[in-house]
Amino acid sequence: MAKDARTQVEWIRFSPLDRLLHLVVMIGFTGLAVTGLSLGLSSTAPARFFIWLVGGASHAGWLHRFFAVITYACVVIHGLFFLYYRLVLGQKFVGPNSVVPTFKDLKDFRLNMAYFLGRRRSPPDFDKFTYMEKIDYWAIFIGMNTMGATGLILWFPEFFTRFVPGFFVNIAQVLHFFEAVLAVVVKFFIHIGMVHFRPAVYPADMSIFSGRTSQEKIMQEHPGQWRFIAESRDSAGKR
Amino acid sequence: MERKSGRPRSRRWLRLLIGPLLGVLVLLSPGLTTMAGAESRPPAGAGASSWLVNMNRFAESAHSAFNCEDCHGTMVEGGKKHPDPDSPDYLVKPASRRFDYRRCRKCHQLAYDRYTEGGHAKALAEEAQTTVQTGESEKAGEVKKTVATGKATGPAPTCGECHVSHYARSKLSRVAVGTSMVTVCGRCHADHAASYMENIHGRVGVDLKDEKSAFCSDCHGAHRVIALKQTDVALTVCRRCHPKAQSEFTNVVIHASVTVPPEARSAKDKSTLWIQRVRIAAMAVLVISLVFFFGHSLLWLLREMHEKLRKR
Repeated sequence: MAKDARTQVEWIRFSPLDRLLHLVVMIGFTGLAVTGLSLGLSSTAPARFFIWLVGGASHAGWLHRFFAVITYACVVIHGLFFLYYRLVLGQKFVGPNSVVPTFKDLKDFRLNMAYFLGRRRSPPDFDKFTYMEKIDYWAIFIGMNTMGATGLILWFPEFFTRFVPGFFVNIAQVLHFFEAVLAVVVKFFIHIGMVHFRPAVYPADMSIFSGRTSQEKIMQEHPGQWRFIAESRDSAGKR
Repeated sequence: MERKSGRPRSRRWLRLLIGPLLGVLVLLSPGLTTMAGAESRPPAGAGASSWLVNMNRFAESAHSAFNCEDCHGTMVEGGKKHPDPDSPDYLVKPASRRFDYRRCRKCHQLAYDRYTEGGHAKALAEEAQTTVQTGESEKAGEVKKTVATGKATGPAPTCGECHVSHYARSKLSRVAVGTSMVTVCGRCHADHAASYMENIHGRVGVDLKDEKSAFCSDCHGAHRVIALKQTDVALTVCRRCHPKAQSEFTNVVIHASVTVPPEARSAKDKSTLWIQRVRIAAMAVLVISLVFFFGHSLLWLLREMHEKLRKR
C-alpha cells in the first residue's frame, strides 16, 4: 500500500522551459549532425546520398546554419534563465545543489570507482548532481561554445580574417570537426543508450517530454535530488 | 504485453507497406546510384597521350571530325619516311615530348598564348635549358625535379601532358572537368591534389559535385598557371568568389598537408605545421575523452548488472 502511494505520486522533474529547450536542442542537434557530417565526411556514400536528397551542398550548408542558430538560441536562453535564477530568484550558483564542481566530486569519483570495482558495497552519497552529471553539463557547455565560435569563424571567414591570421580558419575547421565527432559519438551511443536501452526505462525515458517522474524513480535513481526536494519541502513546512 | 484479442496478428499492414516502400526506393534510386554508388574520388595519375590511338574512343572525342593529317602532317616530311625505324628517336621518346604543339595554336590560339605566359611554359623552357647544358637526351622525358622543395615531379608539361587530344570530349560539365583536374594535375602535383581533396573546396566540388566550388584551374589558371605565392595575386583570385576578402584571407591554407622541408619553409608553411599539430592534439583529446566516457559507462553498467543479478 505504501509502495503504491510512492509510485503513484508524480513529481515534476523538468519544467516546461526544460522540456521545450530539450525538444528544440534534440531536433537542432540531430539536424546539425546529419548536415555537418555529410559535409565533413563527404567522400562516404551516405553523405553523398544525403547531399543529393537535400538538393546540393549549398542547401546542406544552409540547413546546417539554420539548425546552428536554433540550437545556439537554446544555449542563450539557458544562459538567460540562469541569470534570472541567480539575480531575480536569488538562488545560489555554488554549493551542494549546484552544477559547479567541488572537491567532494573528486572524493565521490574515487569512492564510485571503488564501488564499480567491487571494493565497496554501495555508491557514495551523491548530492543533487553526481560528478558524472557535472562532467556532462560542462562538457556540453564547452562543446557548444567551441562549436559556436569555430562555426562562426567558418561561416564568416572574410570577416574574421580581418582580425585574426588566416590559418585560424583552418584551426577552427579542425576543432569544429573533432568536437563534432566527440559530441555526436557521445550523444548517439551514451545518451541514447541511457534514455532508451537502460532496463529501467526501456523503451524510452519519457520524463524529459512529460516532465514527470514517479517518486520511487526519483528516490532510487536520483537520491541527491530527492534529498534536495525533501529538504526544501521541510524548510517550506518550517516557514 | 497482451494483445487485445485472441486472433493471430494480421500481416495485412505489412503487405500494404510494400507498395509505398518500393515507391520510395524508386524515388531514391537516382541518388543511390549516381551519387552514393558512384566512385567518389578520382583515381590518381591517369594516363597521358600515347603512341597508340583507340579509334573507337577517337570517334567520340572533340577532334573526331579531323583527319590525322590535319594535325600530324603527311607521312613523308623532310624527305624521311615515317615512321623511321633507323632514327635514334624511334619509339624512345613519349608522344607528348615529340609532337610539335605549336600546331594546336591553329585553333586554340588563346589557350596557347596563355600557356606561354604561365609557370608550365617557364618550366618547359628551364628544362630545355638544363637538357642543353647537361647534354642529357630527353630519354623517356624523365627529368626529375626533387620532391624536397614541394614542387612537381615529372617532366615540364606540354599541351600533351594535360590534354589527350585524341580522346578529350567536349561539352563536359564544369564539375566533370574540375573532377578530371584532380587526376590530371595530380599526376605531378600529388600532394596538392590530396590536400585539395581534404579541403572544403575539394569536398564540395568533387565529392559533392557542386559547381559553385573552386577547382584547380579556378585559382591557378588552366593555361596561364601560377603558384599564387604573392598576396596581391592570390587576393584577386580569392575575390572571384569571396568578394569581401581582405589580404589576410589569402593566408587561409588550402593545401594544408603539403610538407616542405625546414630550409624551404615560408611563413605560410609554418602556419600549416601548426594546423597539423592542432589536429594531432584534437585527436588525442578525442580519444582520451571517448575512452573516459565509454569506460566509465561500461564499468557502471557492469556494476549495475552485478547488483541486479547477484541481488546483493
